[in-house]
Amino acid sequence: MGRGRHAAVGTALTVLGTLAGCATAAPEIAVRDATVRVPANPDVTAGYLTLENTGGTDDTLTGVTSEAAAEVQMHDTTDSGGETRMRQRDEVAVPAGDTVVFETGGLHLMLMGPDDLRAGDTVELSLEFATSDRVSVDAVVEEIG
Amino acid sequence: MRTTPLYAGGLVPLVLAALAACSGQPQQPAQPEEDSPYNGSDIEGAFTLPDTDFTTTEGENYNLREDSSGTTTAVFFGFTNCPDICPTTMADLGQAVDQLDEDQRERFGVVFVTADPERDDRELIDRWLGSFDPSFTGLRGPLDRTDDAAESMGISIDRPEPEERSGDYNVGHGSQVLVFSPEGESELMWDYGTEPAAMAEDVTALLAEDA
Repeated sequence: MGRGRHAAVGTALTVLGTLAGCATAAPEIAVRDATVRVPANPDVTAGYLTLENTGGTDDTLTGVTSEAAAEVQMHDTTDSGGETRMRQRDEVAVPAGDTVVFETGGLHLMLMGPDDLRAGDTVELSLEFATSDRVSVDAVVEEIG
Repeated sequence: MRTTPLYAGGLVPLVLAALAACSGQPQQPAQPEEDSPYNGSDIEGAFTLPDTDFTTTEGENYNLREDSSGTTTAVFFGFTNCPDICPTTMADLGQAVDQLDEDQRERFGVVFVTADPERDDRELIDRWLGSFDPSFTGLRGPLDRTDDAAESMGISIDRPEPEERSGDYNVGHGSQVLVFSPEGESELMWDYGTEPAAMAEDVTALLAEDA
């Protein structure tokens, strides 16, 4: 998997290394546009984000956790003959050079037992990968729509 | 943008179940014709609102056909534990209603029927709907009655077996919104993802026809 290959990284960037894992070799995961919805049902809400693997090696998202929810699940929405259903995903591939979007109507995060979140709050999401180090991202809490 | 196919174990029986659930429903309405004046699919006359009694979040009896009579009505089956499709649809409908004028709003109603009455009690539905538009009507009824009503409108509902319905579980459901005339005849179908402005345009056109 080329795990031993180290990229040359400037001293200033190594400060960020613990967060982004950028001192390691490929894969190189970036997370952006993370949002969480204000829970309409107090038991559950959805989260969205964009993952980009700019590295040269495939990786796999194996789980998401958050201090702001009892559990975070990954789901995919499938449509079959007009019937929509959700399928829980244990892992989501993030191939080298690819962008994976969690968005409404497709892949999304399901936050079970969320805190009493208000618009404008931020929620830290911690993403675990098969290869890359854990990545944390601040998701902004937004109203639906 | 999904780049990964679903390959999780158990998908095949799941797909079969979904297909089975759909096989008994009326044929899919035709694709919207190019000269259709509507953004949604034209399903004029394909379905009739069933004469089915539900209970509103206020505890009042609500007959889907009789109590929506006289109003152009959009109907959606969903459940409040659904984090993505259902709140998005209700939020879109809420934004569509916001784009109508007062007269139009009086002649257009949105009805949400829970596909998950075991978990969705009246208070939960009321609170949930209130976060989108307090004017929406929230309905709850027994499972069989709910499923029969949905089926008569070509909407499938597929929930886990009773022994598996504990804790967190999902209910598969048709994600389309059906719009019915004041006489209870189907007019339009909005697929998931129809923009609020497109819905508002359609409602405006429908109401103008009936004016």
